[in-house]
Amino acid sequence: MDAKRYNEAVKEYADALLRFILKNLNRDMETSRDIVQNCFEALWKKRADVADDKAKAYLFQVAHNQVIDVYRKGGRMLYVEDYHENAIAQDAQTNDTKEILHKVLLTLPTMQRSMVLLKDYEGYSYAEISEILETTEGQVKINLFRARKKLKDIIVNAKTSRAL
Amino acid sequence: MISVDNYEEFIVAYLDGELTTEETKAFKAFFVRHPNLQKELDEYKALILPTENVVFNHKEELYKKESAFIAFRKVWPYAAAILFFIACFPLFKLFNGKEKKTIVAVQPVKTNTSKAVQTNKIKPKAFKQASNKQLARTDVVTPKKKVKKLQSVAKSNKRASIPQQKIIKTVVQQSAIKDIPKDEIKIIKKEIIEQKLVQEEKTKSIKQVDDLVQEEKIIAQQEKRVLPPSMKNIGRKETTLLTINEEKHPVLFETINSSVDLVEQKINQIKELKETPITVCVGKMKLFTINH
Repeated sequence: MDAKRYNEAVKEYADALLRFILKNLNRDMETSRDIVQNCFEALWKKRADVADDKAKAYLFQVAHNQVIDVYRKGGRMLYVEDYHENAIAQDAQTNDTKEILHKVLLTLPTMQRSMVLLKDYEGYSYAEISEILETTEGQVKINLFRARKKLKDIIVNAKTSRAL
Repeated sequence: MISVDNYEEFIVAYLDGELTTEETKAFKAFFVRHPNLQKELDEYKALILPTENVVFNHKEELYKKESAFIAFRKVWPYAAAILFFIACFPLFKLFNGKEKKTIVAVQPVKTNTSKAVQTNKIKPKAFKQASNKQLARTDVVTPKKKVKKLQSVAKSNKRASIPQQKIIKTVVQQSAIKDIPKDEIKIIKKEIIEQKLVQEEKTKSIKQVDDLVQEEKIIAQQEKRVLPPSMKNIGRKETTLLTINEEKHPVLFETINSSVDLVEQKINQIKELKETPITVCVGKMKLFTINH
């Protein structure tokens, strides 16, 4: 990959990468931009080894690893235990489905969250997700099911509680 | 095979578009048979994240340019090849130059016939180049038989159109003279002087005879008399030359012979010389003139 193709990758994938990191970490825009910059720096360093058609997958792989590093350093904003039913019930009253989904998404494990984001935002197949996250296709299928089931259970329960 | 125990997994796979054509048919057929499960399908549908546009502003901050070093890395093999050929060019030129020099050295030396002609004999190691001063002292002359040979060569050729005042100078290598012992040179000088004196006497007497014959011719003409045959040949000039004994002075003899060889070669090389009088000199000393 030469400089020209690299710059084209910047134009094509910078927005998607920013969205992925924003939804994954729930951090401010500036921090997320820094992480995006780190991802592209990593691609620039490895440009000789990365094929042009694999640039996007490589970027998201680096982004996923960056997110894991952030959580390991203790930068988690929300923990599963912190998000209890009252909070969900409160959010449910606002009928802000988007907000609810985003907050519930943050309660998922990092791997499941990344899978959901790659599937829903980027439209990757199970096979492509398995390649990016360096796992098997079967694991992707199981984790996505568990992630969606959990999302459904939380949201449905919250709506049920509200109704009650 | 879809059932009430695993239908939720199929719902997620169906919504993710991961079911095959056959699986999709079976899935749809299942939900036709179980319409009460349609609600769950709708709930799972609502969990798909809606499209959200996010823009990374100032993407130009992420752009990169190829460094000069990287660009060099791409072209360095070609640059290295060019530098290699440039570096080898002087060697190539030197090699060819050396060959050219040897070729030039082998070529015969051209002579300018409009000026006094000089010949340089490539001598064997035994002979060395003589200085003009040394040669002038010796007053060396050629042996008889060599001169006769020169005369016959000159006679067999036609007259040339170049002016008569052409002088062939033969430079005898000094080594030839240096090898001759000094005592021998003294003896040679003495012999030459003696021979010269004898020659002068002969020339004198020949001149006297010539003068007498001329006078006789004039008188006979006046008196309308015919000269006897014996007297006709007397008037011819004889150029008796000085000789060097080969046994007594072998080195000098060889030197003189080689000088004559050079003269012969020069005459044969240059056509114009065959048709012009040739004066043989040693240094500034004129030895004799060959008239055709």
